[in-house]
Amino acid sequence: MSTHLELKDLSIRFSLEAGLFAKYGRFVYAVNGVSFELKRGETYGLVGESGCGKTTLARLAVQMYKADEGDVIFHKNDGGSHRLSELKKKELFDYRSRVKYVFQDPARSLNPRMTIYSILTEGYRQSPAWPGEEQGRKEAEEMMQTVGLNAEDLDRRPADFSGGQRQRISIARALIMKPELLICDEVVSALDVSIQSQILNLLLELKEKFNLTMLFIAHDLTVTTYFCDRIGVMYRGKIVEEAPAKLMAEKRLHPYTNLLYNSIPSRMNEALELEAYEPFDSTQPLEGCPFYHRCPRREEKCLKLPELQDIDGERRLACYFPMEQEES
Amino acid sequence: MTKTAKQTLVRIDDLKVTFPLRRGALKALRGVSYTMEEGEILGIVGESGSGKSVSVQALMRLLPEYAQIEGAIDFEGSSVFDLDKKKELPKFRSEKTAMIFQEPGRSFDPLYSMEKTFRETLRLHYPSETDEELRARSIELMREVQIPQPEERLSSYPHQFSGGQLQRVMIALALAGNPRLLIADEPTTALDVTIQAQIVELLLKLRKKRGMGIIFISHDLDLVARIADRILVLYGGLVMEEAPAAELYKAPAHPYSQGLLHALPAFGTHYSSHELHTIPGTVPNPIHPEPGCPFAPRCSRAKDECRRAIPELERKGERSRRCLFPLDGPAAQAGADPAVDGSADAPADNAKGGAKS
Repeated sequence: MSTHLELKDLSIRFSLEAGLFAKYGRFVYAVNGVSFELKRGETYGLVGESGCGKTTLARLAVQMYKADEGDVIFHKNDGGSHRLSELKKKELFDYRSRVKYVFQDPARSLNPRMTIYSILTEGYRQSPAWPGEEQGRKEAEEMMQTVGLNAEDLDRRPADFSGGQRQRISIARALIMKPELLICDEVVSALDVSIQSQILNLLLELKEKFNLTMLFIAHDLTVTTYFCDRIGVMYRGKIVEEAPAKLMAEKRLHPYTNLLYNSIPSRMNEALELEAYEPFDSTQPLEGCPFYHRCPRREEKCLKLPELQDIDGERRLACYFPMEQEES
Repeated sequence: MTKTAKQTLVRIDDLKVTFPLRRGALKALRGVSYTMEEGEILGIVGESGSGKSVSVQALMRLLPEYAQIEGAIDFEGSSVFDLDKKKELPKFRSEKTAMIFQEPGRSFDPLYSMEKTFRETLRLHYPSETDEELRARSIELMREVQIPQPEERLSSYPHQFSGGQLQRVMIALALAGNPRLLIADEPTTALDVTIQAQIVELLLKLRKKRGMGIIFISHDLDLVARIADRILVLYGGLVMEEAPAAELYKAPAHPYSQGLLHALPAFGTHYSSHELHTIPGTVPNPIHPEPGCPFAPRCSRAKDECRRAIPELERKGERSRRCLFPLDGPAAQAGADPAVDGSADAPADNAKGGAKS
């Protein structure tokens, strides 16, 4: 499989205070040098707890934020590539029509005053590919059916739809420009259990149909394990472990990944680390291992940042003292 | 799990709650009954709009004045509706029952230090004690919920705590009146999974130590099966199924419970080899519910008689279900997830991994 999207050493920090009289020099270090690749046609899952930087990373990938360091390289399906840091406005347009983003909360990401038709076509109209009103309407109708809604509903507004249906609309909006890559940011977290599976099945179907590469961001490990081909685990703005989803479900080498997987409700057991701990302080620049303060296996060496290294061609790991072949 | 003859703590009988809205009467609960023993953990599972929160709000008398409530709610043998609003209700809400909520961050006054927050609550129970004595009690409570360095943390403000710690403090405050029943309404939904695991362990520990009953409400059946002794599955304002947690998790009798269990993938399954079962359709409309079983429009087993009248809640041993065509034990077991009561460790994973390849 060829590489579709490369994220190279991305970092971003946000100023802690904003405004005219803000004190400078205090930052939240959200993403601290993250590199990974998405292969064409694969689904890459990014998991981690809140505040670990997974959403920020995804937003860096579409330049909703501009990275302080690092770059994103996109290899188009029809040849050629985009280097995100060098894109002019027009090229950014092209990039963003090929890489689409679906947001977490469908209630808040659809403008309540717009009809579904204008929501679907708002971005499309700006693009050079816009086929005109008549054809555009037709495509919108087709897209509605593709995501399991009625074509007649195009003239209704978001309030007329349930959460699951709204998420279908969000997906339709992303797909109408025939993108190559879809970024799904917690797309099922806000939905009822019985609706989540409908959306997951829809995404699987669409992935097949449109040959999509996907970046799937979630905190639910069971869902991510099911849905993704490869998984990267983030902690404090760093990827600490990366492996194919099936492999990760069987064995985890990083102590944090292991803790995370053992906290899944259906797998919880008494052996869990139970002591309360202080949450990490992301206003300090990262120096050592991001998991140092919570890690039961830490040693002095861990104060120096471990590199994310390929260990067997399938798995990458950033840890000096990995869990040995423990299968739980 | 306690099996000795215990006293009934809560008895809810045919509870109906209707909210008269301009759009029509919203039937949040359409006849819910359950009982709960002392020291028991009852899990209530349901999707949004199923009525899971309304049932406990009714128990705590937290529903607004305009809500129409029918049926009976007894706590330790006497009706909660007889409680005098001024004199008895505040005591009932702190010394008999206590509640923790989904978003701990929103349950605190940001301008109160923890010491002041605790003092305000504790003063209700110990009006004659000095600030110093109350402070000692606060530290004791914070220690009980495993907040590190409680002496120092007492002078902190809510924003200086993480979500998980705030939920611990919430629990500590709830414990202040030594309640017989703790109601936890989606207490871990806003928390990260590693923190969720800690809170669940804490609640289990506190139940053991204090012998208080817990009503644990969640949409996550996996999680409820982990913590509860018994599970109540609500849908469309009705109890669909009630059973001991392990049994329900292993072999649900109601098609809806089964649908909930199978709707999300079991850990370790992969899309390349497992299709996800879905429940088609959406949750019922609480203003214009269909005449029959609320789940009938989405149920693959539904026949005409399901749509005619609401089926009775039928009792069979320790379990009850509201279904005309319940699932047979053995048939349901074949696809069920074996992971429950902590037995879900490596061997189970491997078994699953083997099965899929």
